[in-house]
Amino acid sequence: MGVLLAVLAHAVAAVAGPWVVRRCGVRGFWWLALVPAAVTVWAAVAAPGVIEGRPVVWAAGWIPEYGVSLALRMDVLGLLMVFVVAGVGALVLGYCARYFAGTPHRGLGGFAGVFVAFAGAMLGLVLADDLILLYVFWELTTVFSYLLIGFHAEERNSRRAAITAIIVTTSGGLAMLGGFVLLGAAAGTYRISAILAAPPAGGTVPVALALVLVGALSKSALVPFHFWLPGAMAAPTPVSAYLHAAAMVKAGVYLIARLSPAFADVAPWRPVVVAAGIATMVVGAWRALRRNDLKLMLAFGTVSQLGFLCVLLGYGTRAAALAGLAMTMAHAAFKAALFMVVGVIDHATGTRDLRRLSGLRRAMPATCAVAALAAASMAGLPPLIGFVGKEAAFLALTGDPVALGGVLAGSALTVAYSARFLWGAFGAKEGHAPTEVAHPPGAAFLAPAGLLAAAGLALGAGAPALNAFTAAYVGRYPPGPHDEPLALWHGLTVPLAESALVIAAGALLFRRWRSVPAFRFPLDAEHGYRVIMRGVDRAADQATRFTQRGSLPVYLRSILLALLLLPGGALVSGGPWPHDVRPWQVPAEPAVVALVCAAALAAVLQPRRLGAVVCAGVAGTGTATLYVLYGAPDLGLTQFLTETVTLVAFVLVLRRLPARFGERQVAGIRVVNALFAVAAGLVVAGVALAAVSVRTAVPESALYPQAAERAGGTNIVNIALVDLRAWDTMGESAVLLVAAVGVVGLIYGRRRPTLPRVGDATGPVWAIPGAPRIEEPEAVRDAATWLRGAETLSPERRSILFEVAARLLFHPMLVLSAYLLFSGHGSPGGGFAAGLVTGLALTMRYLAGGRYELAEALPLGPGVCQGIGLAVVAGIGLAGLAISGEVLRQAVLDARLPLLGEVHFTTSTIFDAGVYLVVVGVVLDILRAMGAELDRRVEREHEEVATA
Amino acid sequence: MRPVPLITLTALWVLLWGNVSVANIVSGLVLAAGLTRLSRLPPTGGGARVSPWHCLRLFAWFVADMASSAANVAWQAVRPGPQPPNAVIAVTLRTRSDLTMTITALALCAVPGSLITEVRRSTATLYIHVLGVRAESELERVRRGVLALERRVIRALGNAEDRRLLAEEGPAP
Repeated sequence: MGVLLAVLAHAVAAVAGPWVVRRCGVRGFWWLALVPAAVTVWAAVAAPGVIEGRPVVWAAGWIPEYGVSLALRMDVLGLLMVFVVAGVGALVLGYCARYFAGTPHRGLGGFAGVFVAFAGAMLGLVLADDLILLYVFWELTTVFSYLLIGFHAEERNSRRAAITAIIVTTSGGLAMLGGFVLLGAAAGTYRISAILAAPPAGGTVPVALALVLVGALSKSALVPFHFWLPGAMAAPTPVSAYLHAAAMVKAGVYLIARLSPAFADVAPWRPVVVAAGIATMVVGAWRALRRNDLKLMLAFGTVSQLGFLCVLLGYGTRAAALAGLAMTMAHAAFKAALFMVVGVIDHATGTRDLRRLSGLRRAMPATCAVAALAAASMAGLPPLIGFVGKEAAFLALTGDPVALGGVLAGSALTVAYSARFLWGAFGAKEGHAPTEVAHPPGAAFLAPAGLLAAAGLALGAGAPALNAFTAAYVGRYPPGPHDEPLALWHGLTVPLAESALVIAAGALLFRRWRSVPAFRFPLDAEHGYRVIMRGVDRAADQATRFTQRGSLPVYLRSILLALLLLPGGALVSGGPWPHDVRPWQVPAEPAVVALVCAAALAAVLQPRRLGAVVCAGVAGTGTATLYVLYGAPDLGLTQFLTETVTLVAFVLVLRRLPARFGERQVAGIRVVNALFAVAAGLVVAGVALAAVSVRTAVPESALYPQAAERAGGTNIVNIALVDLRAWDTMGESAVLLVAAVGVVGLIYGRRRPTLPRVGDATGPVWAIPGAPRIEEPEAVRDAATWLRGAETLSPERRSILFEVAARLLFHPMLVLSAYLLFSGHGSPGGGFAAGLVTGLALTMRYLAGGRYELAEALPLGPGVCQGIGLAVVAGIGLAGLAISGEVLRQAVLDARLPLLGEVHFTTSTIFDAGVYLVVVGVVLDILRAMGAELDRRVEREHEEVATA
Repeated sequence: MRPVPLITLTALWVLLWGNVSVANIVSGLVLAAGLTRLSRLPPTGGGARVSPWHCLRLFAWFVADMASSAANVAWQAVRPGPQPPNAVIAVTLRTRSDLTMTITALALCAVPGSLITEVRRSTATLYIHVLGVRAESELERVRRGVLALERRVIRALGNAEDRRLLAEEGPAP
């Protein structure tokens, strides 16, 4: 349970983070730091048991069909990573409190929340005992790190760096997911502990491992994916100190360490890890040496060290693994400390360019001491943990000249850039006045870095204690010839000589770093990335230009072509034709069908748009009649209502289009279109015929009456919508809403305006300049007001008949819609039909009274209706989950109330009410966007014409 | 809260459900109260006096007129010969009430063969498009028909002033 709480505590803190920081200012970071600090303490308390081989475990089912579970497990490796992730996380959060002090930052609250969320995701990543869960946390860290790197979103560099980081790591992550799935399939489980206990072999396993390695290498910025990390230095320094030293980049290292005990000997693992690791170590260190920006120097140093760690942890021997764990701890401590020091220097002097820094050793002695201690650990000087780790590494790689040679070279370069870092940051440079220190750092600012640097010393001194700590993990590897425990002093050994050699060579390199050539590799990975991204952009551009021509007929023809080729082709190549085809079922059918066909033909031949729309409406109404003839009153009702609303929407839009269709259509195209249309119609009819005759199983609909009865209703259509298939309805409601929002966005091009009220009316609505009037407005000034909005209309546009009728019918229509809504469970109706009836009532008021009448009819905006509606729909789903453990589980309530008698109520009625509100909102949107907004524009154009 | 809309809406609700029960009446009253509260309408001064017997008579006449007009228009549509001539005539009603005028106009609109093209509200003048009018005398017949319809509407749901105007004019010819 503790492991779960550790992750959940971060989630809660992440949600509360913005609020805390807004409330307490930068001090809020102190409060947030308490969460990872508490987790560190918890891990320390749990440590003895874990070290003795009793991991902390928690698991719950997630997707049992695929064997995916929410499993968390803290073994020794997990414990070590928890110390790194939570321990360093707490210190960095404490550091934030000083780093951001004094300067106002926009969005600092959000930053705090994302930072803590990242820490939680990272914690989940190192604790996950399920490959899929691990992947989820993995991608969460990617997304959060994207937000953190791009914190200065107003800077172009920052955005670019964030995008590069997310693209590189998610591409790797996707490959890794593929690898995980293959691995899980080969092992028959996604449980990491189970896979490691009985590792699968052969078959797809090498491929799976190669894919997993792509993910790990990209996350940990190894060659050839290393370039994103230096770019990510655009982030605020606390982010670099945490993500790019202790946490995120360690994810790849962690994954390699996690899988190595089982897979280090499988084909691609060791060669890939060692080759990439060595190359990264040397390249990173080489490039670090020549940087002038202290932070960039550390970034390339990090790249180099990550390569080193991967070599050790992926090598697959007991000695290498031991060295790898020691170096992991060492690196987390010294690199985070050094990043924090750079932040301190940046704060104090306003620069981190070593060419502009001089003499800080005297001005900031404490900072200098902290940096020296950390850098010494980085360089591998005794008696620090860095030295212990390197000694162990040299020993472990003895006998492998390539790996050892690479590591020695990389280490020498590391010594050199460590020295250059110290000299560059603190040294007094000849001919350079001491840099002015504007804000000397306080103790609280320096303390986190100091603690981490001191930790390097403590770990070095206490190195023997680490042997017991790591035994349970290291013991998973087969014993080898170089299994020596960690210690500061092994006697006069070869590794000691190698250490001395490395330090001497490093000192020499530092002395003469200017003579180190600024060697550019012929294959520049970053350049390659840019080329690929440009290629993707260009290909997308070309593809868009080719497929998205902006011509509706072309789109329609391509869609129909697919229909003709696929289902049509299947039909022609031997569709299952029915044996007995009855020409009609109901005697009235042929007449209705003839009417529909005639209307469809007329719609095509109409030269005017309005005529075509009306003809299409006739065809639709005929179809609705067919539904009714076949005994489907629900469908018929809905279709009738939809046809009416569609007609209104069409007419509203047609006001802005020319009355006639364009004459540009070439005769040949018309013939092609006609052929397409006829063929599509034939295919659809053929598919319908074939579909009913291929049925072999008993139709599911046979069970519907029974299911409807259990759901407490008799209207099968409605029960299917709100109960049996409520998921579909929920999705459709959301789609409808999104479509409405999209249409509104297209028309307004901005946010929806507020609800216009009668009092806001400025001029006569719908005025036709120069139109004859049947009577002067003065003649009816004292007449009764039937609709308030109608008085804003231009006199030539008013119709008293319409006003009186709209007024008389409005409330009865609402009563009818309420009836349809509540009776839908037992008879034709339901939320959709009810919503349309209400929508039509509103349409009537709009047409009779103009745009200001809408707010009179319903003092609610469309957004409010839609929002409440969708919230109700989703709320019912969640309520079902909360009460019965099943999403969208509906309940039937029957009660005998005094006086009222039997009351029958189902929760699906509430669900239906949500659908009702969504539909009303969508119709309102249509009226406001296509009606009111277009009206406003037409009037403005008239005014412009008049003034011109 | 005005009682008439409340009662009519509740009655409609009960009719829709098809059975009179305490639950239906109570829920209808709640619904009607809620709807009229949510969506208020401006007061019109109303004053319509509903006579159920005359409403029934008006309805019966309307059905009969609908049938005969439909048959008439159908015959004009299919009979051989030239297109029937049309006319637009203005008929000024007696009433001063928007409601009476509207119901008269809607009844004319609903039956085939006649259509309201325009209304002058201040004088209660209807401009009616009629199908198949051949002579002046026929126009006079149409005008008398419209006024007779208005009389039926006033008897069914005219206000006090309508009825006074009707009484001044004397009994129907």
